[in-house]
Amino acid sequence: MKAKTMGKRRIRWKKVIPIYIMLLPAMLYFLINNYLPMYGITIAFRKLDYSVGILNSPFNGLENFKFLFASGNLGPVVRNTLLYNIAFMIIGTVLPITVAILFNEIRSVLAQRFYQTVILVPYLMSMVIVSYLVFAFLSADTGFINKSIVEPLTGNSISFYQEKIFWPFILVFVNEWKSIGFGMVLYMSTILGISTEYYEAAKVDGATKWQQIRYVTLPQLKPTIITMTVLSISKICASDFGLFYQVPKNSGTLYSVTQTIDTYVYNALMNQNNIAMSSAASVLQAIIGFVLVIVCNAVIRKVSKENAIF
Amino acid sequence: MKKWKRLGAALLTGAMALSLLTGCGGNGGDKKNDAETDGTDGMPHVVMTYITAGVESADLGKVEAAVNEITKEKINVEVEFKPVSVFDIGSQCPMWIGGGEQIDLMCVAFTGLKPFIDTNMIQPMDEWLPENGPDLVKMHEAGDPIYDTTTSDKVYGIMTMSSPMGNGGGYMISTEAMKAAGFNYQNGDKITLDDLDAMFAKLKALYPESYPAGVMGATPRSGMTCIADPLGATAASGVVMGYDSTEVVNYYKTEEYQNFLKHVRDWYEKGYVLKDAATTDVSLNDYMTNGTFLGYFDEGTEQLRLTACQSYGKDMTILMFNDPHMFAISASQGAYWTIPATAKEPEAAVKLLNLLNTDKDLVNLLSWGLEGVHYEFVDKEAGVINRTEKFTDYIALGLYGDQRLNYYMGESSAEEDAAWNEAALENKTKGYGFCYDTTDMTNQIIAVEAVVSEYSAALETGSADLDTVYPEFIQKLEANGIDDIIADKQAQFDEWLKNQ
Repeated sequence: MKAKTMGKRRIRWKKVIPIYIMLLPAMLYFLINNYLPMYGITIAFRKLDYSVGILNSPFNGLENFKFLFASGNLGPVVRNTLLYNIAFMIIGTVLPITVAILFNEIRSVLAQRFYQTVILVPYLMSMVIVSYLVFAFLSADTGFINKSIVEPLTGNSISFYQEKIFWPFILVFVNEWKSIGFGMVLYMSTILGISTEYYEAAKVDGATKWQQIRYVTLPQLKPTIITMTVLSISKICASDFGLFYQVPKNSGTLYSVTQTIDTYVYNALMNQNNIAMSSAASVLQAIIGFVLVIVCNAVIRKVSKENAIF
Repeated sequence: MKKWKRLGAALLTGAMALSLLTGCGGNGGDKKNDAETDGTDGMPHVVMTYITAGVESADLGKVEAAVNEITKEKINVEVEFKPVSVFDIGSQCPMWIGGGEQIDLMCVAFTGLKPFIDTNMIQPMDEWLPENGPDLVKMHEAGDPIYDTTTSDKVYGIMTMSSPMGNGGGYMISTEAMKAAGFNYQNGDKITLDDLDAMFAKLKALYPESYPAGVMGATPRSGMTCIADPLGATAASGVVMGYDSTEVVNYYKTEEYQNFLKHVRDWYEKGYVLKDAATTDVSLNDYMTNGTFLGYFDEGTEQLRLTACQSYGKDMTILMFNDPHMFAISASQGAYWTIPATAKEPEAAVKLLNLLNTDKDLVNLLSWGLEGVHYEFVDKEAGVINRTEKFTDYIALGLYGDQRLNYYMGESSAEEDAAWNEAALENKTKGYGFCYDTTDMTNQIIAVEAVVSEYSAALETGSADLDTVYPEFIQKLEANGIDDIIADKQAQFDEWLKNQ
């Protein structure tokens, strides 16, 4: 009896081990890349002393966090970070889903491939390049918008990099233009996975195209939408540095509408080389993000249990 | 059905792979491994940072070999260069030192030593100086300001002596354009901002496609037009105006600063300034070479003028606002050579530092490359050289050793430099020799400097409306505590003055 179960187990292990071995590189990668560096969090609570090393530097409590709260400049910066992220979250869900559904209706494979490539290209571009494309449109001296639209119509030019009111729109537009391809591919893959039987049944019942989308496609997309939303909530305190630093060309005049926590910390500490203060800021960011994910997930678990991530 | 699912999965994997790929930066590793401490034959092996302007010269290896020939023979030291871009010193060097890599001699350029000292990243070199750096001690005793004065009691860095020394401030302008506009100024003639108004108006009429006022947000240059001594820190912590004042004031509220802003705003509105000036990242060199700019604010030494003539391919005239003068020694102005905490051969490093400040061959080798390859002599006696075709294979920043030992490129400026130095030493501000200790005000200074960088680019290029933005700027400076910093600086300065 005993020997029999042992034998069974051995056979099971033989099946399982290769799978674990396949998992090993990824686990190692996570351990080395994501978990090992976490000991650096302690830097945020220390007065760094290079002569004795990180782990022997004396602790100084929350001293490093003080500068974040010292000047009262944090308010607008946090507001920008949160509002932009919420805008990206909403628009970044609605737009790719719309495009994905439209894509799904394209029947010509060639056309589908072509549009898909075209829409994905901006995602592969570096923000630095994007910032120059934007500059080519917005420059006050040579920009396309000023030279071909504003000047012929009004005789004046607009200094976009000095005018605050345009930037919330420009940044949201640029971000969506760049990321829509990626989001679309994600949702497309889910849509392609929906069994055609649902649609056939709906057709038999006389459902219109719109009704098919409303009652079949969207409910099937719900798990993906929830996962993507939880993921983006976890990054609500973070921001795409390239988007907020490179695209507005770090123009000081625009800081009140373009500065996020990341760019604020960068600009404030760039001249100081203060690693301890920088890591204090990033620890704060991580803690807020972590708490938000836990809270969000708890809420989702309450509302619809099967969609919660953990 | 199944086929679609598989395609979906493939798409998803593809998308994930993309997100991974785009996340990878091109983080090129170091090509050189850590060499062992002892070089060949037990010779001390010194690792020194080599500062590049971003790109490593093709012939750096050849120059390194030539440097080793000199150092092995003269001080029995083997040298290894560790290249780092001048823009990355503040981020890369702490990383190396934090990681425990051997660096014996490190250059800290254009940024204060304070953060490095506070974190014990560098160590004082007093104990090695008398024995290994006798010439450095002699230079210090002779009055050359080569020791850093960040802390008063210890030497943490040896400054690269620039030639000539001190500050000036003027407007560098294309001679041809100036003459065409009907002005006959000579090099070094004194002018005011009002004189520039008249000149720019004529220049703009003559060259409608060009911008006579070459101001850019990346390099605010209002400081060139007046004498404002930041007392060893930045203007964000208050300045002393003129030669005779001992009162620390808010630079951004001074009449001189406001006057500058008024002129620049006027120029901007009249089209003398590039509309994108506040945010442009095209280099001054490009703007000057292709004729977009006709001139720019500049320190004004003869060497800078000669370099400008060579780089832009046209004759330049320098018009001065100020006489040459000396400020309080500013740690944020020059380059310092320091001994990091991870140095294994500090004695040999100081020996090398000593040689760098005394050996003409070594300094010129590092500055200009190899004779006959990268440069050739025009007049060996006067020390005048010219570039060869291969000049661009070795481009160095003038950060190594005593720059007064350098050969002159193109034309000798020895006479002008001597006159400049003499004048500079005569016009000392009251803060000469003082250095402000920012320790107690770190948080406020970070906040105030953030405000300055927020506004200065737009204001000093005239891109922002003065009536609304300027009061906002001043109000924000004060809200972030500039007055507290000024009071702290004044107290330290008064204390120091008492002991003079």
